[in-house]
Amino acid sequence: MAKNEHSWNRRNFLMRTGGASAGLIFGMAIPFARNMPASFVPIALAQDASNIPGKVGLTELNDRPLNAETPAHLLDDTITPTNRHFIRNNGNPPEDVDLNSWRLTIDGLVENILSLSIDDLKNQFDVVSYDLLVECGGNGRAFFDPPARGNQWTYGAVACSNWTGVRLSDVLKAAGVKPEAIYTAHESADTHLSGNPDLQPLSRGLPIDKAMDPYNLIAFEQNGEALHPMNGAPLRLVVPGWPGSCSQKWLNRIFLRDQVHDGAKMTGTSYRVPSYKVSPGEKVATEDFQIIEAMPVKSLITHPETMKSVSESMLEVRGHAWAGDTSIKSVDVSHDFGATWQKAELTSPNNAHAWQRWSAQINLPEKGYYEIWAKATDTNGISQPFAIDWNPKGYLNNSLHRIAVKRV
Amino acid sequence: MLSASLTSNLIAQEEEEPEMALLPLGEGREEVFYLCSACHSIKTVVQQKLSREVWDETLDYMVSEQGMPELDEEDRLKILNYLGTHVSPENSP
Repeated sequence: MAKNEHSWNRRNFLMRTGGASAGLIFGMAIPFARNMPASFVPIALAQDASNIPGKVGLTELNDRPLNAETPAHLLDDTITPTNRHFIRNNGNPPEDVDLNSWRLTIDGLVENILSLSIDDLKNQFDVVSYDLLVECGGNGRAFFDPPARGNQWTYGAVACSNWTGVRLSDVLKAAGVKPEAIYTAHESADTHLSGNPDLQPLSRGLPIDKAMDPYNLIAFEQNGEALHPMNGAPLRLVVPGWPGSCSQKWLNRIFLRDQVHDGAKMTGTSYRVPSYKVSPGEKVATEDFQIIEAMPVKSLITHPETMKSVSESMLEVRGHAWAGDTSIKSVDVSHDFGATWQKAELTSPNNAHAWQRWSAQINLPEKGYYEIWAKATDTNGISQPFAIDWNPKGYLNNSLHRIAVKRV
Repeated sequence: MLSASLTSNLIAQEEEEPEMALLPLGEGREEVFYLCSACHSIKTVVQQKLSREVWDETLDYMVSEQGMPELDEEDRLKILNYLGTHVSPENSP
């Protein structure tokens, strides 16, 4: 077992911290902490993944590699706190990263090969901060029928934190992109789960046009602090609006190519969908798959939490909406299974590629069971579908979010 | 009811391999455990509920893309039968 697995494992975490300091996690003392046996997991911790250091309330899908998502009602903040940002790891994260010796290499089809420290990035380029949406391409896979392989994400592999870094486009311009370059290729310091040093867990890339979007960051801070180790410390890409895998974590190399990048999880059916509509369960030839680019229009209801009981007839419902490379024109909500819809109040995004807040006051006329549905429409007039646009690998589920509310 | 010694044996085994308990009993359980947990958590396996056909493709993908050793025909069949039966849409742990 790799060393980092020990440090990120619940049992070892508790053994290291001990019962008394575990009280710090709950925000209160544990009066009888001294009676707790070694390796004892308190019930309050056993029920969720808040034992991931620096994360609170996430649901752990697996621990090797670590993958954890955030319940929808914990994503209510306009800017997602670091401790509620989901984790999607493909391999073993690097251990003992050293901020000072970290280097980012820019090479391949460039005029000048660059080798930049994090201080070089800060000193030689504009440092900017944006609220940027990152969503895993497989968010919502759990609802596919027939099921699709991969992590069974429900709603919470999405977040919009405030990221600080330098523009990817500025760094590429400084290196001088040769005219024949058409695609970027990203590499990182995480290692393959098999232990085979010749395999990379993930190496994704972008078409040059998208790479030059001024909102793509090479980021070294999240919400004003150093990156969380599981969110890519000390350096990562943030490529908003495209599948999260484009936002390479633990970034140490970008090279430019005269072909579509063929690194790990760029080929085959990874992060790809059929180039035509298919019926659920249909077999699709690998050559008929195409690379996912912008993510589709989507929304999330972050308040109230699903399955809550309310006693008043008026209910405030709120959440976020976002749409790949474009923005949201309107959000409509329904409390009667889609028979009638009302327009929600909608805010402008804090910057391009940030999600937008929406809210609505809903009248629940009598006691009983209600579902609240939210449906976003982007500036191209495209709305979220009710049904899942099924594809073999379980990507891009943007079907509308439904929650249950009981008026008692 | 389990005898005291059998219970403590089971507990000892689960403590040694706590993730074994995530896999339902059945022919091929240990083979699946040792093959898959060599690289990743058994939670990765049991959170999925795939058809036999998709497990079949997944085993191929693990060999061609993810560095899993090629299995001999007999082991492969045993593992596929286990996954297709016990970690399937109809019968998930």
